[in-house]
Amino acid sequence: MTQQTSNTQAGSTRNSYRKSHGGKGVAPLFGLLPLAVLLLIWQIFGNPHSVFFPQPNRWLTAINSLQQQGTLWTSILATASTFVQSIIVATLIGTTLGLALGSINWGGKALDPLLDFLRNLPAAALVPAAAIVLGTNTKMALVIVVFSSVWPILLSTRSAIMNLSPVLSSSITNLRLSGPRRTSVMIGSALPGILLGVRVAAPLALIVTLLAEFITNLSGVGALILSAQQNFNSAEVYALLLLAGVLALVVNSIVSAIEASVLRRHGPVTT
Amino acid sequence: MSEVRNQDEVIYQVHDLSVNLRRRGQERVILKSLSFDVRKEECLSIVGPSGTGKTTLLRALAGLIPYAGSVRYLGETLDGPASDVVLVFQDYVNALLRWRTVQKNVALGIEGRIPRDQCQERIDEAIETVGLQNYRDSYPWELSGGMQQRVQIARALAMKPKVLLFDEPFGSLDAMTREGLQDELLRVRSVFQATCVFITHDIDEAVYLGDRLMLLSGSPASLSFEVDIHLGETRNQISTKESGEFLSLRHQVHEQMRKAHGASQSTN
Repeated sequence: MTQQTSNTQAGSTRNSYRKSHGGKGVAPLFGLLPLAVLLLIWQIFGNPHSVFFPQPNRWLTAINSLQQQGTLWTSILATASTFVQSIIVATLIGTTLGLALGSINWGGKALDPLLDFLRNLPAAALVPAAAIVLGTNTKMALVIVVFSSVWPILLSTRSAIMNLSPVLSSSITNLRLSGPRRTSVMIGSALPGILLGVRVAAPLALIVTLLAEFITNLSGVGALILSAQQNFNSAEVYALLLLAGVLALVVNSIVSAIEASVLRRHGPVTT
Repeated sequence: MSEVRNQDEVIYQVHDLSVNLRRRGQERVILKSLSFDVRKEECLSIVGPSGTGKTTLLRALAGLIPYAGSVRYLGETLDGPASDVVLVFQDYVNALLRWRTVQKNVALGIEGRIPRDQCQERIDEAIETVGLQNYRDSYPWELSGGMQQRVQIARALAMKPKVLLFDEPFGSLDAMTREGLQDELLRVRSVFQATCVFITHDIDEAVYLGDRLMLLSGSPASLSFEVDIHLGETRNQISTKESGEFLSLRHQVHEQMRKAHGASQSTN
């Protein structure tokens, strides 16, 4: 009980190291102030008849009309669903492979060139290939997003496992832990590394989700942006750009919050 | 103390043990031709300067590293992690699982292996033995260094091991905490009848805790001196350490260590 209350007190020591762990809380909202000021200046000094730089109030009108057409929320949902499914699948695959590759000694360096090759394949270039193989559908989008966001998780997990303390590995062997018990201890100690990978992967997954929608015109926020651009509806383009930014911000705070709450049991970072 | 020993009074029979380790591609002889026994329920102190290979010796006894020569544990050749042998590491921070509470850490070696109620009983017993009953649900990082080391000892005790291998367990603790834990260890040993091998570079600690003491020195390391310690069952930080027996043992070990050091210097 007392622990919980001290947790919620801003400025308590507990809280301050949580922040350094990635739990940012409300802090980014204050950081958005410059953007808000910029939009305000735009609104006040902007040209009401500008084609390329519509004032922010026209963005709101555009968003509103999208909502009335009923496409706004379905698109956001479609994007969110692709994103959430992908990040979950990427986390599962990345953690499993990272765990496996980190546990075998020769896997450390021998597979590096291959991993570097795969990791650096640009997602945009993959879309046509995946479209040929899988067709233009949600499944294809999932594959592309998983493929591009799995690497940070995999590599981060692998390095966490490879850097396990020798004392801990000796303990595991000495206590004769094997099978799921061994794995759970290893995952537990690699958890900060795994979550770091997820934190890096999440924005990437969102970008690639939008990109896949953009290129293939699957329903989603990316497709909305594309059609807005094709219809020369610049206010809508800006509005959706802002929406994408907000989505990224939301994703980032959710992931950080999850990370902070999972790592609460790990205590302060020791390096 | 008869010289003729029954076979089952000997836990370890080590004969001509050598260990080579590979470091940065170079094979180095760490231990060379060690022969000794570890007797049932004794506490064998092995003392030697830092970097001699004391930890390597313990890891060999735990069956964690390959070796040459013969190590017989309970009469059988050791070829893999030994059962009922628990290591207690100096580095308690990494030995404990930071995301598990004290209770769950102590459970690590026995959970899923024995019935649940029996498991809980053993956990409680071990935690009470090291005096952490008020910290069951704390996380290791919330505790002081000395308390964390107690958690590691409790984890070992809960397994009811035949052998406890201590690898400089109190090396990173302050002097006061260390003395407290030394006495605690003596008390624990009187309750849990386990055989102990205790490694340290601190001669006073080695004499205070041991029933027998061996000196490990040189590079590659070998055993250069052995002595029985007769300080009785109950020992006291003040009176035992002022007794003639303690002081003369301490003197002998210091002298032998200096001699061994001198010898290794002249061969270099």
